[in-house]
Amino acid sequence: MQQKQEDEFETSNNPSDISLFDLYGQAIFAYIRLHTSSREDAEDLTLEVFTAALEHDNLSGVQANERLAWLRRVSHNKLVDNYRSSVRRSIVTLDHIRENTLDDESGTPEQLVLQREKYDQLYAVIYTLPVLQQQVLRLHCGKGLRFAEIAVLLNKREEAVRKIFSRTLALMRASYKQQIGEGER
Amino acid sequence: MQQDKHTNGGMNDHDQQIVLDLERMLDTRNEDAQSLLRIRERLLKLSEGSLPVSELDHTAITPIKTVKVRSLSTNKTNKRSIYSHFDEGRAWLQPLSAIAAVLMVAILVGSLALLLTYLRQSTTGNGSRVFSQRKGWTQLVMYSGKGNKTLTGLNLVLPGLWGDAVTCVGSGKLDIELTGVGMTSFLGKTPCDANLSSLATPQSITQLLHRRYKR
Repeated sequence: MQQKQEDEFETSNNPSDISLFDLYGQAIFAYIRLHTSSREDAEDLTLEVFTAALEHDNLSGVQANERLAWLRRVSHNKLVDNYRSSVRRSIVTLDHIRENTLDDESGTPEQLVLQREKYDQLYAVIYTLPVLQQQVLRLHCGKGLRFAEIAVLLNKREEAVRKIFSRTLALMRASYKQQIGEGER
Repeated sequence: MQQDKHTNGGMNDHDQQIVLDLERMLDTRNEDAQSLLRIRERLLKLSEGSLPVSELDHTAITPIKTVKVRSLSTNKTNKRSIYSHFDEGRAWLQPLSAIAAVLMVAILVGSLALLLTYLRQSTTGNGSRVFSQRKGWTQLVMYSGKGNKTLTGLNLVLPGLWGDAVTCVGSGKLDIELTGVGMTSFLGKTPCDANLSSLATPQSITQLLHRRYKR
């Protein structure tokens, strides 16, 4: 579906910025969201990025993967500008996600307790991960981005991102088992 | 994502369970979709070119706690829009600016050329303070300094009217020896006068170098 949209975008002589947004809006928003503390800031910055794209006439001549890289660079600059102009530090935390997730739970009280314990363990593991691995997890599992997109956003090779994800899973599995073992003892 | 899952087909059940748990924990796609929808609407309004502040404030569907932040960014966006229109309105000024720039460069270059010409004149002695040249005369060469100097390539064609002007500072001596084809002429030894400061001009002399004399 996305490939089809990309093809349409490339073949179109006068591609609208809305189609550009439809193609890359999710990835760019996810990237900006990684580095902003509030959803509203992320929305504003995403809008600014695509407004910059609106003013950049030659973007339709750029290849699809380079287009995402260009948007990522603009996003990075906007984030830096935002950080400099803002007194607040944009520390990414997982707390808001955690609250939302737990509020959405349904089931019996016993199931809820067990589920929360399980998630607490997972969160404990996630917090110990390096930032890059947390970002890959959030972008892949939380935002549903493909490894190719994540690679562009994090300025890594796709293979490297896959390895990071795989290593993260292994690490989580080991920690998970260790915690379960400690819990049983 | 689907394709990526296939590429991770080597995952065991436990890993898949972890991934599923992670997706349930971290999944913000619903909220993101709403955010993207809002951005899309704002982008649409921007691309249409009309973004009145009041309209956006009235149509805002965000919670009250976010209105303040949102209105700040709206103002920012409107500022950009206003600047954009303002720039379009001043488009006719751009050629004028270019003309002004060209004029400024021309004035600078002209001034530099004038300055260089003046400096050159003052170094060659044309109209200098030491020598003034009579009308109709052409300066062939000028030498200023200490020690011996041989001036060649003057190509004087005799008989003809030519002259020389000499001045010096201090109490030394000055010897001028003219050498032509098969002939040599000593114009003389001129003792320097330390007080010589008056203007000197070439003398109108018809000098035939057929005599050989020494003073």
